Amino acid sequence: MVIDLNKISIGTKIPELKIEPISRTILALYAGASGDHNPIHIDIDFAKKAGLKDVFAHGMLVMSYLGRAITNTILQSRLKDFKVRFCSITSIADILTCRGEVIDIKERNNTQLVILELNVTDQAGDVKLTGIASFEK
Amino acid sequence: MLDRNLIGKKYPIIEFRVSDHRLKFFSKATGQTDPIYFDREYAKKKNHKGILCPPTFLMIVGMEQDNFYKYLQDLNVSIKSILHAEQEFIYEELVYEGDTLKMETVIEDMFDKKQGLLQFCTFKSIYKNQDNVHVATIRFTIVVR
Repeated sequence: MVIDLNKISIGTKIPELKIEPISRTILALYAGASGDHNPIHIDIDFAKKAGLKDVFAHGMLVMSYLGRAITNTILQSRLKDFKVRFCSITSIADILTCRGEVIDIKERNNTQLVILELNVTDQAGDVKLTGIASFEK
Repeated sequence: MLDRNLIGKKYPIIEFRVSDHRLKFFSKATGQTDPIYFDREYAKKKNHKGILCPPTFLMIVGMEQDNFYKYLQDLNVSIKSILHAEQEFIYEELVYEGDTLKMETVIEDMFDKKQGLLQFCTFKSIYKNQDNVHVATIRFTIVVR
């Protein structure tokens, strides 16, 4: 665990996680591993027929990277809720950065619940997704 | 317009055994660096009963249907016109390699934004393990353009 749970307070940030550039290989591997074979993510001919310039990343791949940023910081057993809203598509060669910051700490069932505000942006600062996670302190 | 009469529609329960092979493949594909997600011996040293499923892994269970995109036929929309809009995981218990999961899905809600230009549909899935313990709830929301 990277952060000391006793020292977290509103404004505490989890360490940023920077991801290697999105490649076609990564999307092919994720399609196979996840079972999501939607051709819009792996077949450029299909993407073009759908009116796009190229394939784009699975939203769940981006959320999975964000999940890594969380579990790099806290034990997964503490994680209670993880929710995201997808804002824009992630393209080939995008370099993503995952971030999280404590925005609230509440009491629930005699334990403290820490609320993290999350986002993933690309190299241009465009927001790919925003989210909220909560974990037990 | 999406047919709102479909709200409440249930899908057949899907049973899925979490294999170590699939977990390792998923961890590789998502660039996982923490060995508890791909190394059994390491995970056991960290007091886990085996390789741990990472937070987004449960989403793949829904892909194991004969035709995951059957719901698109129900909604009468093209695969080209949908995007993943929102996703939520609510965790009750950890899931490990070797567990057998049962997932039951229902169409929970439909709503629209921008005077109906964007239509949304939320699927809610309840996951239970081989001991019939509720391990997680997932909400999967798509937008139809």
